[in-house]
Amino acid sequence: MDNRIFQLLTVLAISGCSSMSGIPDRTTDVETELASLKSYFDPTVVTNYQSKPSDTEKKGYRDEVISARLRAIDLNFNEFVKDISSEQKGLNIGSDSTVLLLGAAGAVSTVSSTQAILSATSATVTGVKASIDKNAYYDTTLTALVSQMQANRQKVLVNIYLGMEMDIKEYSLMRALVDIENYFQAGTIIGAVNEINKEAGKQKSEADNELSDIVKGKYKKDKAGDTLRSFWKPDGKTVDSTNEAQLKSWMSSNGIDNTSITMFLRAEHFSDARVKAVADLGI
Amino acid sequence: MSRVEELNDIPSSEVDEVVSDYQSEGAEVEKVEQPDGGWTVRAIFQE
Repeated sequence: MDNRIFQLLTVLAISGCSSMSGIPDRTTDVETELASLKSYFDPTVVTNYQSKPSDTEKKGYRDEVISARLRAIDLNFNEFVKDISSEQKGLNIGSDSTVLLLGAAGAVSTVSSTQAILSATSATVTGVKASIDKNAYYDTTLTALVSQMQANRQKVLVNIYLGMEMDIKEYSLMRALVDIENYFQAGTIIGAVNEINKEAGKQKSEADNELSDIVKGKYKKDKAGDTLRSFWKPDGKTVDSTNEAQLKSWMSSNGIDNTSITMFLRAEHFSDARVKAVADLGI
Repeated sequence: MSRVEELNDIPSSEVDEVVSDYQSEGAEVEKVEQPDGGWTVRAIFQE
């Protein structure tokens, strides 16, 4: 086999097997940092807080606990996102590279049997890739969920930061702990799905309201409608603005608001109103 | 914000007049033929 093919297959093996998450490795060790924050998760934080002699010291300790817990939650969240991202992107990038490299190997080979083998292998890998692409919904959903988690976390974080600006009477450690729990929940898949469902429900409700705002009417051509139309458009085409103003004023004073003249002239449910309009306007 | 009106069961002979009237009032108009041969005219008023 041509050396160039060997080289390409070597690259192929490396590319196909390596996992690329798109997230750079950390310079700090997450486990070590989490271990250093462990004391701030101890149940004694509340008694420690209460035992502080002054409000200033309590506030200082409160902020310390908040910062430590936020940091720990952030570290875990980032690892969580990295893990799920690595799992998915590793598959996709690896197989993409494989398909490309096999195509390239086939192109440089001058031996027809090698080309046939590579072509068959390429077809196999492409088939694998197709099956992975079936997971595209999962990939897309995951991206949306992570975005939602980040948005939820930001919302809760704003509250926490605002709370840290307050004194302990307005924002005690206990209140902060509740917000921190919400911050953690905001970074979970369940929290993201709940928020998406809530938003979807809200949008559906808004859409339903818009639909219910559509004014509908069944067409009915009658003599009163024709008379009013001639009053509105004397030549059948051009609007007489003075008469239009009179007609609109009559409609408004008779409780027919947010309705076009066209609907008023031709909708069945305005039949009686049209007869009255003709009489009132003396047409 | 927009307001939508829908006038249904318009005979073919009258549909162009309805469209023209709605247009005179500044609406964006579309007409859709119904399965029974009548027409529905939908007018959208931008407010």
